Amino acid sequence: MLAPTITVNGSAGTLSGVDPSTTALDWLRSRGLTGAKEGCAEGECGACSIMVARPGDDGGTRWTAINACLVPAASLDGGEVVTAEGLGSPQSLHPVQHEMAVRGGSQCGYCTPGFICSMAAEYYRPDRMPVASADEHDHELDHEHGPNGFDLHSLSGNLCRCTGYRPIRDAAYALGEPDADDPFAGRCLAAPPALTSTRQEGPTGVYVRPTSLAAALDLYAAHPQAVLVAGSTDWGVEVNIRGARAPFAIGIDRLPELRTLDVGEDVIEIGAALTLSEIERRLDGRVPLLAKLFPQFASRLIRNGATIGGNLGTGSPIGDTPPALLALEAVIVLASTDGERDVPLADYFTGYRQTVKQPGELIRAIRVPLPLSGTTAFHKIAKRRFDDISSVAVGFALDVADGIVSRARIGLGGVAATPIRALATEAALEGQPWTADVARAAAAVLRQEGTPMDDHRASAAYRTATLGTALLKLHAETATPQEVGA
Amino acid sequence: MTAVAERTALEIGAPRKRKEDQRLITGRTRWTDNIQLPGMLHLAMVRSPFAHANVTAIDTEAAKQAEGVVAVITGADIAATQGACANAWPVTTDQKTPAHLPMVVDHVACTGEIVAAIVARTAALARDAAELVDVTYEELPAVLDAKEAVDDTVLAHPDLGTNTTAVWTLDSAGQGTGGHVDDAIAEARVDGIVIERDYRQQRLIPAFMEPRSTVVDPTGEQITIWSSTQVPHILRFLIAATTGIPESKVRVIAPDVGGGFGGKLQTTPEEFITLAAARQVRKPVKYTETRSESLVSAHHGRDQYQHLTLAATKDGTVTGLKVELIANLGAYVALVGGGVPVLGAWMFNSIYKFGSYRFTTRNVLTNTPWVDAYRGAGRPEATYAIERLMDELAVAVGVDPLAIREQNWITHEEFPFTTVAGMTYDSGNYEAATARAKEIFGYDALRVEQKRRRDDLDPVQLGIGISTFTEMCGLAPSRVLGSLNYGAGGWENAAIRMLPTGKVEVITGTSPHGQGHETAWSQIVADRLGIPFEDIEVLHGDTAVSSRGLDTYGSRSLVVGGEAVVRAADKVVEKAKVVAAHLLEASEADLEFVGGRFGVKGTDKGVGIAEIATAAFTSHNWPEGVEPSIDAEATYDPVNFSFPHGTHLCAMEVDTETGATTMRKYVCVDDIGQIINPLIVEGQVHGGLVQGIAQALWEEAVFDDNGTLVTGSFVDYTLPTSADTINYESEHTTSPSTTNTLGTKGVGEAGTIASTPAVVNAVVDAVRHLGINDIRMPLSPERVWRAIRDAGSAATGDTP
Repeated sequence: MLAPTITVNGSAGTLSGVDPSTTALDWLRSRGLTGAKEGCAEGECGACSIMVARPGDDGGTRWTAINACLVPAASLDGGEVVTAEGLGSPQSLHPVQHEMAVRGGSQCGYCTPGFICSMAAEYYRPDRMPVASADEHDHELDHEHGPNGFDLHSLSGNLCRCTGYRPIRDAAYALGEPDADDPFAGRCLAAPPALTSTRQEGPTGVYVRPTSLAAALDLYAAHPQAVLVAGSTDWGVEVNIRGARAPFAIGIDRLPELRTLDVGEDVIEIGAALTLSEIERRLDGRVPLLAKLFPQFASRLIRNGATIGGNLGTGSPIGDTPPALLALEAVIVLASTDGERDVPLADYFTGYRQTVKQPGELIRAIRVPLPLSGTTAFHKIAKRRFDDISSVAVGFALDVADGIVSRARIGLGGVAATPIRALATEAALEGQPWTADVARAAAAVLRQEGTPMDDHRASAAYRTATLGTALLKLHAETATPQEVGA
Repeated sequence: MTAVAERTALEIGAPRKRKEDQRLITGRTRWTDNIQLPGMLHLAMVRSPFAHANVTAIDTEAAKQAEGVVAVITGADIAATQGACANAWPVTTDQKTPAHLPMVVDHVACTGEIVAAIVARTAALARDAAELVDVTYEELPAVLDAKEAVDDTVLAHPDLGTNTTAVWTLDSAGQGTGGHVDDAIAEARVDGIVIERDYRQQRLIPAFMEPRSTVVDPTGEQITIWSSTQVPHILRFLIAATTGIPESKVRVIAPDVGGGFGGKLQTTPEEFITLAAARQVRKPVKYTETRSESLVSAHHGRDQYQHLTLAATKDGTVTGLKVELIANLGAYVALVGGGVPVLGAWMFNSIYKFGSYRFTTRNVLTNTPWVDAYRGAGRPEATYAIERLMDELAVAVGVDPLAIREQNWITHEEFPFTTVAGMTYDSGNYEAATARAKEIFGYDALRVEQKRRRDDLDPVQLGIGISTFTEMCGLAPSRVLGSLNYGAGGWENAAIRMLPTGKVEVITGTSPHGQGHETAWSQIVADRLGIPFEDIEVLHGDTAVSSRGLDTYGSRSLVVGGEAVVRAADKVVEKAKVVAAHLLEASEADLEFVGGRFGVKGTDKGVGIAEIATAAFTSHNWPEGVEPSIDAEATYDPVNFSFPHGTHLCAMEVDTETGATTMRKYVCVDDIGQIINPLIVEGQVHGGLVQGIAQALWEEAVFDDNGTLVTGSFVDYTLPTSADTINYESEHTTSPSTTNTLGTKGVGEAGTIASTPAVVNAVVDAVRHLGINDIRMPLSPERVWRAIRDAGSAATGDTP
C-alpha cells in the first residue's frame, strides 16, 4: 500500500514516516506551512483552521473549514487541503485576505490565517446568497448575517483577542461573489476526492481506514480495543492534551454505509458518520428540534468535523445531542459482525461515559421516528452564547391537540451522570390542557428532575430553576392568547 | 539638481492598509515557535499541582532514562545560575518582596510553579518524560483570597512573616492638592450624601492568542534569545542583571508577537529556565507553552477588593472620595505587579473636581499565580469604581446620571487643570464628547423605551449605562517614575537611517505585538521627511538593531515612541539642510523644506532629501567639516502623561426571568488627540471595548479550594466569540495633546478602561427598580437571576 498522500495547496505531500498520532496541524507545520498554529489544541480557538475538500450535496465538492489540530494527518489521505498560504500571497491577495486587510481585520495576526480559512470556506459556500431585499433596519439588527448572505456562525470557532471582531465582521460582510475563473470555486464543480483505503503505521501505533462497513466491522472484531475515529474531535483532544497514542485506530469517517440520510414514511435515518454540519444542511429544517439544536452545538468549525455518531459514542453526560434526541425518541442502530440491533436512546446510556455498546459494536445510524411532535424547543444554558459546554440542556417535544397535551417527551442533559428523560414532567403534562397553570405545575416537577451539580459554570439551584423557566417560556411562546389567559 | 515632485498628500490621518498584514494574512510570519535551529532541543516543564508546598525530594531517574531525553534539570541544579524574576517597582521603600526564582528550589508558592524541566529531542518526548519526574511535596496550608490574606492567619510565604507586602497611600491633604477626606465624609454624613460601596474586580487572564514561546541559541559569541515578549529590552537588561551574563553578550529578539495586553509585560520563569537549559546542554533549546500552561502560569490581571466612600452635598456635588483597596498580587511581586494598583491612584477622581481624596492600597501576597499588568492596569479598576459610584450618586440625588457627571466634571475652559490627585490634565473636552455620544446613541428615545418597558412589566427590561472616562497614557516622565521608586525611566528611543538608495529605515525602541507600529511609524516619517510610505521600513524588537528602548505597554508607543521618531526625523532634516545649502549654494535661511525637498525660496532650485542621502553615500561633494551622514537618533523623555477621555453609552436588555443579558447598543466617542491611522485606531477601540465588556459579562479566573485553576483551558475560560459581540459605534472628538508634537494621546487601553462600567451600569439600571444596586462581575445570567430573585424575596419577605 502506498504511503498516504495529501494534496496541500495544489502539490502532493506524502505521509511516509509520519506517526499515525501526528495531527494534520503538526504535519503541515513540519512542512513549513506555519500559518495554521496551535492556539489551544482542543478546537476552541480556531488558530489551526484549514480548508479541506469535502463531498458537496450534488456530486460536487465543498470547501469545508476544520480544526487541523484535531484530525490525524492520515485521515486526510487522498484529500485536498488549502491553507492561508495557498489561498493567496502578499503579491496576490485572495479576496478574503484583501477584505481583511482593508477593514483592519488583523492586528497581532496570530489568529488571522485561521479566520481566513473559515471565512474562505463560507465565501465559497454554494448556497450563500445575497439577502434579496434586505430592509436596512432589519438588517442592522441581525448581527449574524451579512447582506452578502455571509453566516457569521462560520466564524464562531475562531477566537480573536485583538480586534473585537467588528473589523473581521465588516470584512466578511463586504465579500462579493467568487470570480468566474476562481480556481477554488472551479474546484467545487468537480467530484470530491475519491475514498481511498488508508493504512498508516508508526512507532506508536496503526491507523487504518477501510472503505466498507463490512471491512470496518471485521477489523473492529479483530481489534475490539481499537479507538474508532470519525470526526476525531475527541481523538484530537486525547492526543494533544492527554498525550494518548492509540495503538490501533480505525477511521470510520468515510464509510459509505454511515454517510446516508434517508427520510422515509415512518422514520428519518441519519448515518452516524455524517458531520453535524452535513446533517444540519441535509435536514434543512425538516426536524425543527434539531434545527434549534445545531447552532448551539459547539462551533461551526467543530460541527464541520464532529459526527453525530461520535457525539453519542463517547457517552458524555453533557453532549448536546442527547437531550434533543431523547425528546425525539431516537433509536440507535448498533452494528457488529453479528448483525444490527436497535437500541432506544433512553436505554443506551448506562453510566458516566458508559453505554450498552458491546466490544466490536459501532453506531451505524440514528433513527428518528415520524411523525414529529408539533411543539418543540431546545434550551441550553452556558456561560457564552455559542461554542460553549452546556451547564444544562433540555429538549422538548410536545403534541398539543385541541388545547390538550396528548404526548410529551423531554430530554435532559447535565442533570445526572447520563442524559435522561424527564419522565415525571412528561406525566404531569400528558392529558392536561396546555395552560399556564399546567405549565407552571409541570415546571415545578421539572425542577425536581435529576440531581444537577454545582460547579464554576452554574450552581445546581440555577440549573434547576432554568429548566422550569425553559418550560414556561415554551408555553408562553406557543400557547394561543386565550390559553395564556386560562 | 533635478527637482523632486512635491509630496503634498498627508499620510497622517489616512486609513493606510497595514504593512504588517501582507505577511500576517497570508501566513508568512515569524513567530517564535516557527523557529527551527540546527540541533535544536525541546523543553517541557514539570509544574506543581499544589498551591503551597515544600519540595522535599525530586526523583529524576526514570525521566533521565526515557526516550529522547538529553537532560533533566531541577532547581537545585541551576540555583546559582538561573537568574531571578525581578520586581522593577517596589512601591514603598519597605516593600516585602519574596525572592522569585524561575525554578523552585524548595518552596512552591502557587499552582503551576516550575519544579523541574526536561530537555529532549522533541517537545512530545519532553512532555512524556515530564510525567516521569517524581516530586515529593509536603503540602502547606494555602491562602488564596486577598481579604483572607490580610490577617496573616495563613502565610503565602511563611519566611516573610506577613502577607502584606506594602501599603501605599496618596492623600490630597498631605500633598496639598485637596482637603481632608475624612472631614468631607463626616460633614456629608450630617448634611449631605455618603455612598459607601464594596466592589470586586475579579481576577482575569490576559489570554493573548499566541502562547508564549522562547528559543535560546547559546552557540556563537552572543547568546541569542527569541521570545514572545512585549519587553525585549527589559528582558535583556534583567537577564544581564540577574544571571551575570554581560549585557553585551545577550541579544533578545521579539519576532512577530501574537498579542500581549500586558500579559507579555513580564520577564518569565520560562525565559530564564530556557536560557539556563540551553547553556547547560550547549545547544539551541525551544520552549513553547500549552494553552493550559499559559492560562495558569502567564500572569493574571486585576483581582482587587475596593472599599469606596463618596461624600457629596445634598445636590450632588462631590466633596470627597476615599478609596481603600486590597490588591491580590498572587504568589510574588511580579515585574510591575505592586505598581498596578498604585497606577489607579491618579484615576479614581477621573474627570471630576473633588474637594478631597485619599487612596490606599494594601498589596497582599497569596498562593495564587502572580498578578500584574492587564490592559489598562490600575486605570480600569479606578474607572469602574468611580463610574459606578457616580450612577449611585445620581440615584441618591434623584437626577439623570449624565447630569450628575456634568455637575462635577472639569469644563473645557478649565484646562490645564490640576486634579485632587495631583495630576495636571493638559487638555480635554468632556462636554463635546458627551453631547456627540448622546446624539448618536439616541439617549432620550431609549429612556422613553425604558420607561415604557417598566410600565408594561415587560419581562425584558432595558438599562442604559454611562461611562465618562479618562486615563493617563504615555508612560511616563522619568522624574515621575523616579519619585514612585520605579526601577527604570520612561523615555523612548528612535533612529532613522537614510539609505543611499533613497529608502529609509526607522528603528524604534517600542516593540509591537499587534498595534501596527510598522504602518503608523511609516506614516509619521513619510510626512516628516517627505519620503514615500512604501519606501520606509520600520525595524523593532531586536536589541541588536534597536539597542535602546523601553518597549510597549501603557499606551506609550505612539505618545512617547512616536515623538522620539518625530524628533529623530527632525534631526535628519536639520542635518540634511546643511548639506542642501551646500549643494544648492544657498544660505540655510533661504531654504524651505516641503514635501521631501529643500527648495530655495523664490526659485525653482531644490534638492530632495533622498538625493542628499545618496550624496552622503559617495560624499564626493559634501560640506567641509560635516560628518558624511544625515542619519539621526533621538531619545525622548515625556514632560507629562497624556489624558485621552471619552463618553461611552451602553444599552443592555435583561431577561428578568432567566437573567440573560443582551447588548442592544454601544456608542463611544473618544478623544484620543491626533489620529495617525483611523483604521488602526478603530481596531484598537473595538478590541479594547470587547475586552472590557468581557470583564463585565463573561470572564473570570476561578480557583477551587485547593488553589487549582478551574478555568484552566479555553473550554472553561470563555473568551467572547464574534457571535457574542455587536457592532459598536465609535466616533471621535479631538482636543490635541499639548505635550507632544503630533498631539497624540494613546488609544490602546481606552476601550477596555471605559466599557466595563458602562455595561455594568446598564445592567444595574435595567433592574434597579427591582431593588438592585449592584451585581458582581462577571454578570453571568446566574448572577443576574440571583440578584433579581434575592431582591424579590427581600421585598416580599420570602426566604430563597
